[in-house]
Amino acid sequence: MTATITILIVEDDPAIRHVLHEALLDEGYDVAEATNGQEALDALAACHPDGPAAIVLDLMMPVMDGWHFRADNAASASPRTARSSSSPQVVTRFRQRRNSRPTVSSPNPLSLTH
Amino acid sequence: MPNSDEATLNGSKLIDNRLASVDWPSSGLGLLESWPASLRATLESCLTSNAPAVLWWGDQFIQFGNDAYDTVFSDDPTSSGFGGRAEDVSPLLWSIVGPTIERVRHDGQIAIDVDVPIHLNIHRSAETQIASFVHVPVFGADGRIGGVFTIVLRSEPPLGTQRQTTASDRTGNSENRAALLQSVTAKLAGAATTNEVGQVVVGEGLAAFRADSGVVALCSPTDSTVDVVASTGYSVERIQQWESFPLQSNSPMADGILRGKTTILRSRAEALIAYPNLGAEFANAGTEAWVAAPLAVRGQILGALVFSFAWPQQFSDNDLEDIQALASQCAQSIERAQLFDAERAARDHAEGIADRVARLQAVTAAMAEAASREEVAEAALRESIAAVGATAGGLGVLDASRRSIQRLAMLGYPPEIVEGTRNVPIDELGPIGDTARTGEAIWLETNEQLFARYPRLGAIPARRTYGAAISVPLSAGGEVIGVLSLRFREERPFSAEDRDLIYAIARGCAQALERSRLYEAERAARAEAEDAVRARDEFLSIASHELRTPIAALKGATQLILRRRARGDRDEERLTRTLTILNETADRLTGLTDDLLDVSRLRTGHLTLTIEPIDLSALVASVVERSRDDFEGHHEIVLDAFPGSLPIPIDPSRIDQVISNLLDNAVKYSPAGGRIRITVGTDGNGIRVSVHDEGIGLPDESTESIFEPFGRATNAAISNLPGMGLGLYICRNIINLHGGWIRAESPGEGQGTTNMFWLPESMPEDYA
Repeated sequence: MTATITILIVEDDPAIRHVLHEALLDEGYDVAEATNGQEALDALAACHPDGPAAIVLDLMMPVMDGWHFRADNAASASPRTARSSSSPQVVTRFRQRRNSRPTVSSPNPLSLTH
Repeated sequence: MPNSDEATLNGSKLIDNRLASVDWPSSGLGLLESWPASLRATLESCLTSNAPAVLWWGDQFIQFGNDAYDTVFSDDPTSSGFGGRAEDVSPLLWSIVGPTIERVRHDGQIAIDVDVPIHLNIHRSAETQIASFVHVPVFGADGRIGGVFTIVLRSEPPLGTQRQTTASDRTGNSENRAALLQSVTAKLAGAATTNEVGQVVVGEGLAAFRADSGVVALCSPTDSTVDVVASTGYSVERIQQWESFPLQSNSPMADGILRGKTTILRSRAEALIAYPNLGAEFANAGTEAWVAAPLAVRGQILGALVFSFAWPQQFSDNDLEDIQALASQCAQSIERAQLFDAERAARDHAEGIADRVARLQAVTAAMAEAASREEVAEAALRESIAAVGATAGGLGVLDASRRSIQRLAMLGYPPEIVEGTRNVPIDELGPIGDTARTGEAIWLETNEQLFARYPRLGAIPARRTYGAAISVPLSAGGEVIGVLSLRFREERPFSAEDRDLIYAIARGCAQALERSRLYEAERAARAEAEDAVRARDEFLSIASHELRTPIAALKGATQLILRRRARGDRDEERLTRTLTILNETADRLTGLTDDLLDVSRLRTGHLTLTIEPIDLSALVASVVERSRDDFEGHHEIVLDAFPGSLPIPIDPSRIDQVISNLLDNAVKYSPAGGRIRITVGTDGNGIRVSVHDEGIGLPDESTESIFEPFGRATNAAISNLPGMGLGLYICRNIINLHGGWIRAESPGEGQGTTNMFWLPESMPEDYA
C-alpha cells in the first residue's frame, strides 16, 4: 500500500477522533483531522492538491455541522477540489438509518457502531 | 169621683182614670182640686208628653210617670207607683237619681244625670237600660220650688219602641230561618276562601238580624290571636284596631271562643258590667248590643261570629237559634275553606317547587353545555337573570391572590358599569366586596336599603336607575370562590322561596365553576404530563447521542488494542495513548451516568446531604487546582478567593460537584478559550461563589430554563455543543438543599456567562 492516500477525519469528539485516526494509520493511510465543518473546509484548502481520497464526517458538531460542511463543500468552487481526479468519498459516522453501515472499504472493518 | 173640668187635666181618659185611681188625700198632696196651678200645669205637660217623663212633687217626692216612662221602666203601667212616694214605688231608680233630684229641689238649678245604667226587672227578664235624665225645678206661685220635672233621654229611637224589636221582628219564625239558611248556603257554595265565607256570613247575617255591624274572626292556630277575616259596618280605625287581638283578652268575642257559648250583651250597661275593661271601647263604638256566637265544628272552635247593634236589644230564643245555626253553617264552610286554602297552599308550594326545579334544571343544563369558566359563568348568569327576573347581573371569581373579584361574565349593564367593575377589590365597600369578604349573601330590596348601607353607590347616577340588588357567594369546599350579583329594575321584596332559588342557583353555579376549574386543571396537568413525556423523549434522544459517543470510543479503542496485539504491534507509546483515551472516556461515561443517577435520586427524593463544616475557600481552591490540570493550555482559570478561611456547614462532595460542573460548563461553553474567573467572598449571612467565563453567553430566555431538567440554552443546543442538560438542574437542587440559591447572568449571546451560587452560614433547620 503506498502512503499517498489521505483521509480527512471531521470529528469533534477527541476520543472518537483518536480511535479513527489510529485505526486509519494502522491501515496505512495518511490522516488529516478537523474538529468541525469549518476546520474541515480550511483543511481541504490546505491539503495536497489532489485532496483527501475520503472524508470521515461527523454530523453533529459545534461551529459548523456535517450537513453544512457537505453543502458548502459541494458548492465550493475550490480549484483544488475541482481539479482532483475524483471527488472524495464521504463517509458519515452518523448512522441515519438503522441498517445503514459506514462504507469504509476494509477487509477487517473497524466497528464503531454497535 | 170629681168630674169638674177643674178636676181633670186636659189629657186622655187614661190619665183621668189614673188620676182618679189614686187616693190623693192619703198621699199627702191633698184633694185633687186643692193642687196648686203649678202642679196641675206641669202634671199636664208631663202626662201628655210622648217622651218618657216624671214629675216628682212635694217634700215626699210623690211620683207621676207618664205612659212612655211606664213603658220603659215599669213592667205593669197600672201599678207603676203613680202617686206614690218615689223611694217607695221606685226604690232602685230613686237610689240613683234621688240625690240629684233632692239637690235640684233644694238649689233650684237644672241638673243632668248622664248615661246611668239602670237595671230593672222588665218583661220577665233582667234588663239593663242606659238613660240620661234632665231634672228641671218646678216653681209654685209663691216662688218656692214645688217639685222636679224629669225628662228621660235616649229617646232616639224611643226607648219604648226599641225594646219591641225582638225575635218576631227579625227572622221571626222557622220558615224565615230556613229561608235565611238556604240563602246563606247558596251563597256559601261559591265561597272558596275563609275570607269569602266570612263575607257571605256577615253580609247575610247583617241583613237577617238587622244588625249594624258584623264580623267573622278566626283563631290563629299558632299564636293564640283572633284574626278578623271579614267585617262589615265598622269604621276603618276600628277594623285596623281589631284586625288581630289576643285570644286571652277579656272581650265578648274571645269569651265566646273560649267558652264555646253564645255570648249576649243586650245593652251597653250589661256589656259594662261584664267587660268593665272595654268601657272606652263601647263608648266609642256607638254600639249598644252584641251577640257573639262561636264557630264550632265537630267539637272544635274555629272562631266567632259577632253582630253588633246600634241600640239595646232583646234577643229571643229564636234569635239565638238563628244565630247559632248561621254560626254553625259558617263554621262548616270555614273548615272546608281552610282545607281548601291548605290544599291550595300545598299545590302552590308544589307548583313553586316544580317551577324552581324547572328553572334550576335550565340553569344546570346551560352550565353543563359550557366548558370553559367564562362559558359556565355566562350560562349561569344568563339563566339566573331569567330565573328571578333580574335586569342585569355579574358573575365573578376570586383571583389567585384572593384580593379581587374578576368578572367572568356581565350581562345587562351599560358599558360604563361593565368597564368600571371588571375587577372588584374585595375590600371595596359594596355588596360584591362584602359578600366576597364575609361569604354572606346580601339582599337589598330597596334603593333606600342599598344607599343606606353603601352611601358611595348612591353618588353614582348609573346605579340609581336600578331597584333591588342581590349579592350571593359562590362557595366550593367551604371557601368563597366567587360572587353572583343581580340587579333589578324595580324595588322588590325577596321571599324565602326567592332566596332559596337563588341560593340553589348559586350552589349549582359554584359547582359548575369548580368543575370547569378542575377540568382546566386536569387539562393543564395533562398538558404538563405530555410536556414531561416530550422532554423525556428529547432527553432519551440527547442521552442516547451523549452516551453512544463515549461507548463508541470505548469500543473502538478496545478494538484498536486487540487488533494491534493480533498484528504483534508492540508500540508502547501508542498503546499508552489509546489506554489514556480509554480511561478518560470511561470517566466521561461515569460522569454521565452519575448525573442520570442524581436526577433519579432527586426525582425520588433520595438525594441527601452529609453535612460537615468545611472551609469553602480551600474547597474552591482545590477544585480549581484540579481543573487547571485538566484544562491547561486552552483555558486560563483565575481564582479571586477570599484571603481567609470561610468555614461553612456543607456536603463537601456535593459542593465540589457543583463547582466542578460550573467550571466544566465555563470551559465547555467558551470553545474559543479565554479566561475563566472564579470569585469567592462573603455576602450577607453567607458566602457567594461566582464563575465567570467569556464564552457564548446566554440568550435572555435561557437564564432560567438552563436550570430545568434537560434544559439547555438554545444557543448551546443549536451549536451541537454536547451535554444532556442535567448538570445545572442537579446543581440547583444541591444548592437549594443547602438553603442557598444559584442563578446565571449573561449580558447576552457571545458576551460570556456568570454562574453564581450562595450558601448560608448556617444550614436550614432540616439540617441543623
